[in-house]
Amino acid sequence: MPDTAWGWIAWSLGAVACAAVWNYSSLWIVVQFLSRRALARHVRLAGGVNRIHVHGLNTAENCRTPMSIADAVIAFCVYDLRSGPLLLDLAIPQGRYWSVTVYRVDTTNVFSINDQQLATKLEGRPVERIRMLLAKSAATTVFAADSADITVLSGDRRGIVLIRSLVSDPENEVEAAAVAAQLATSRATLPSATL
Amino acid sequence: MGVCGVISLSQLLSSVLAGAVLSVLLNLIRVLRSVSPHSGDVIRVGPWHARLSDGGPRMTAYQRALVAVTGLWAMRSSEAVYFTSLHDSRGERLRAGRSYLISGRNMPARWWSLTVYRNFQFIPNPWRRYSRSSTNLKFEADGTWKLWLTPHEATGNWMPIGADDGLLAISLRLYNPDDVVRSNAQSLEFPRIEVAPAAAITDASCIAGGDNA
Repeated sequence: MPDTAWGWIAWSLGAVACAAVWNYSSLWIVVQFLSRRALARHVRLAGGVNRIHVHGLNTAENCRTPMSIADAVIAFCVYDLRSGPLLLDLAIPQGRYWSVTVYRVDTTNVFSINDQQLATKLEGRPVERIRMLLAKSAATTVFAADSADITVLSGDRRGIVLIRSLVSDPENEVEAAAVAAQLATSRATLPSATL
Repeated sequence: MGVCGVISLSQLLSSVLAGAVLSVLLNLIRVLRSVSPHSGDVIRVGPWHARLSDGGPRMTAYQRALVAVTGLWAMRSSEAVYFTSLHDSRGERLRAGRSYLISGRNMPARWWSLTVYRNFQFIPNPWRRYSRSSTNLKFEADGTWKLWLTPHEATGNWMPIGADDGLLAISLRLYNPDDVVRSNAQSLEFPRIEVAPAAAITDASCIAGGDNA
């Protein structure tokens, strides 16, 4: 151990600095590890990135996300914007709660909108479908923004889009199948004209 | 010659090690604080607690890690508030193999549900029943409802709780909650969680929900 006062001060400052580094880096590693592992699992389920996959209702057999919802038909799209923005053409089942939420790979929730908010935003328009342009930054949306109803800037190249559509009774297989069939008409495409 | 002429290499390494220990202690304190009644943005009502910052941009590094472990990809509190209970209304830990009665009224939200988990996962069961919600619970004539958690099959408002050991938790999800949920949840009547009386457990007609009475 140090044998001078300055030695002790240096030792203590070093311990505090290391504690801060250990602390935040360990928390960052936990988040990145869990998020990337979950994203990888979802990419396998969907058969690739930038594809909308209808997962259906979560069950004990098909879902490992902790404390997930049991009452919603889930669709998702793991996005990778290295080739440019992604245009999502989303179906909105009527008469029930529906929402789309965009997350970055660091789990930040960057955008969320539900069916009621959409109806308010697009007043006068029947809201059975919505076109959402997902881009990393505004600079990449120049030629594609006018093809979308909503533009979302994720600020990051990778992440996930989650679409949740509630069912009144998850044990009603007919209802769940009908909602899943509607969500399955959603599409993700890379706009042909990008910067 | 020491590092920068002040401390030796071994002293530097011990400083790094002390920093690691300090970091672990700091996270332990955070965990203990997060379950205390006086945690910053945690709402506590009876056995129920919720974090308002879950999913939002104001999350600290620690909150983000906690959400990643216990509820990855949670929505912001303006869209959904997630209350969790690990205890019954007397403060005792929820236990597998027991039967519980949850009772309450309609919650101030567009939609709400109760879901049971073991070790943060759905409890496997032959009926694939993991939750009950405001749209499939049977309400009594006075606007109240009763929901039985049992290790065996029942009828009416019930959910299987399983018999295997593990950390049991009940999640109360509120989608598009009224502002009062975030601003003054303590003024609301939250569901009570009580150990079901033995007589009710053995009498199947008592276990059945309101429509089978």
